[in-house]
This record gives sequence, C-alpha cells and structure tokens, in this order.
Amino acid sequence: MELDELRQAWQTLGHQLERQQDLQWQLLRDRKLDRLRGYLRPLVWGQVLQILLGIGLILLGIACWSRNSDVPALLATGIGVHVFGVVNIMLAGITLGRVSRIDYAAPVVSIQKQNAHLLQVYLRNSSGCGLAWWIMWLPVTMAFAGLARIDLAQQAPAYIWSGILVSVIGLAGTWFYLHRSQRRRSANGQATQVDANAGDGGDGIRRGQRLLDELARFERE
Amino acid sequence: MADSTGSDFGTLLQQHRGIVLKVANSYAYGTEDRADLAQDIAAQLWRAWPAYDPSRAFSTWMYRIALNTAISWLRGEGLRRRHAVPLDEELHEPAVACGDTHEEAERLHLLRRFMDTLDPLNRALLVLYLEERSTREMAEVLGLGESNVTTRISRLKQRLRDWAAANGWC
Repeated sequence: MELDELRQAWQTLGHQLERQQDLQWQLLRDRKLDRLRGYLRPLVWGQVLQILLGIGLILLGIACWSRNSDVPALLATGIGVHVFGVVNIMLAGITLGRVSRIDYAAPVVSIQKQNAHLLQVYLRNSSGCGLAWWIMWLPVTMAFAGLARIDLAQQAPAYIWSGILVSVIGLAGTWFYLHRSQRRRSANGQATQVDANAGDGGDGIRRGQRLLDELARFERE
Repeated sequence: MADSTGSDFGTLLQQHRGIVLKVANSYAYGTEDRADLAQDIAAQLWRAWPAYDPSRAFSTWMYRIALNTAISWLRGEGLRRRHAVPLDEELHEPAVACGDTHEEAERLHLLRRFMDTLDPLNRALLVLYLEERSTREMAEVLGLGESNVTTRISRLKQRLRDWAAANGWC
C-alpha cells in the first residue's frame, strides 16, 4: 500500500463531503420553504373568502340598483356596493397573484423580496378593504333594505345619521389604535422586527420573512 | 493586510469550502462534531481575515488556520473524550454515494483508519500531501523546514506500508 494510492480515496471523500453538504442545505431549504407555504395558507384562504364576499357584494349591489333605478339614493347605494365588491375581488386577486408568483426555487434573497412585496400588497388590501367597512356597512344595510324597496335615507334618517357617527368614531378609533401601536413598537425597537405582532393580519407573512432571514443568514455562514 | 470586504471573504470561503470540510472530517468524529469544527474553522478564518496578506495564496493561509484550529480542537476533544462514551464512528462516516464503487468505499475506510493512528501534526502533513501541496507550501503551513517535511513524508510512507502490512491491506 502506497500513500499515493490514497489520493483517489481522498478526492472521493472531498466530493462526498461537498455532495453531503449540498444535500443538507437543500433539505434545510426545503423544510423552511414548506413552513413558509404553511404560514401563507391562512392568507390564501382569507383572500378566497374575500373574493366570495366580493361576489356577494356585487350580487347585492346589482339587485339593489336594478330594482331601484327610480330612487336616486338607492341607485347610488347599489352602485357603491357593487363597486366595493369589485374592489374586494380585485385586491384579493392581486394578493393571491403575489402569493402564486413566489418562486420557491429562486435564490433566498429573491424570495425575501417577493415576500416583502406580498406584505406591502396585503397591507394595502387589508387597509383598503378592512378599514372601508367602517363606512361600507351603512350602504350595505341600506342596499339590503333597498331589496324591499325601503329607502332608509328617507324613512329612517336618524338611523343613517347615527350610523355615520358610529362610522366616524370607529374609523378615528381604529386609526388611533394603529397609530399608537405603531409608535409603541417603534419605541420598543420592534418596528424592524419582522415577527412583531402589528395587529394588521400580516403576521403569517412576517413569520415567513423571519424564516427567510434565518435561511439567508445560514446561507451566508 | 486584507482590505477586501466581507463578501470577498464569503466568496473565497465558498470556493475553498472543500478545505474546511476535509480538514473537519479528518479531525472530528460524528456529524455534529464535524459541523462544530467546520464552524470553528470558519470563525477563526473570519477573525484572522483582516490580517490576511492578499499577495500570498489564500489556500495556503486557509490551510494554516484550518489545521491549527483542528489540531487545537483535537487536543481539547482528547480531554473531553476521556470523560465520554465513544461513539461508533462507522455510523458517522459520510454516506457512501450510489456512484461510489466498493473499492472506493474500502479505500475511504482504510484512509480513515490510517488517519486515526496518526498524531495531529502527522495527520496535518498527510492532509497536505493528499491535497498535492508542494513541499514548500507544506513547510509554510506547518512551520517546519522543507527538509524536515521531506523526511517526515518518507517516514509517513513507510509507516503506511508497515501499518497496511500489519493489517493485511497490502
């Protein structure tokens, strides 16, 4: 047995070790990305529900404006609800599009960017459609009443005015809450933490972002 | 002195990661110990990076630090092992890939067994020899004279012959 005969074995060992390391990295990556998919699943279901809600709003809106084309207030209410339904579907569709466009085979940095973009889109969606409900509940109840050709603006103005008051208070209260929690998170240094509970429903995406950060750190190390 | 950025270090480390893996595999037993040692080596390389002289070969610098770290680690490990139950090292060998022949697997096994019989310095010498480093580079990495390296390699060759004969692997 000569020392030179072991060189071939040494080279084989080198290849094996690199293969093994690549395999371990791939397994880790697959495991983390599976978890990311899991975190995004509730978001997907939420968007599907938003689409169904949008369809319901469109049907309600159409039923309202088609039956009350001679009552301007109900006609406008029906059209408003109809448009709100379309906006709900569009924003949910855009969010779902972003989720489906995440390329899990791409480099981690690229997935990080896609996920961050998804968070932005989702936050616009949730603030656009979520906060709007403080206002839109009123046209929706008016549209339901409109199905029976009842014009609440004419027949129950007190209800409308008190509804508007509730809407304004609710909007102001929500804005105040979000603003205060944002300030509190900034003061605690959590504003940059991707896992911080912001109370805006985007926590699954943020948890995913934290996973991706871990993966990117591991890749660098 | 290295004036390069951390990303240069990362790229070089990635290019020469085989050195870290092979040195860790030569000195540590078990998957976790190997991973720990590889991480220690990477950490030492990062600490020493600001003092790296780019006019000299990166691989030589890397071998020196990797082998010094591994030798220190093995000495510490020796102390730990006296108080620990030994693992069946065969269970922790890198998996033999499907493409590897029986002969290759046998030689790998033999290489590992022979390495186990060597002291840390001779093990480092064997690693450098198997990596086909020049005598000058080996001397530089190990801090020995070139003639000393040549003598030690001759002894190592004889030692392998004797060991193989004694174990029926001629």
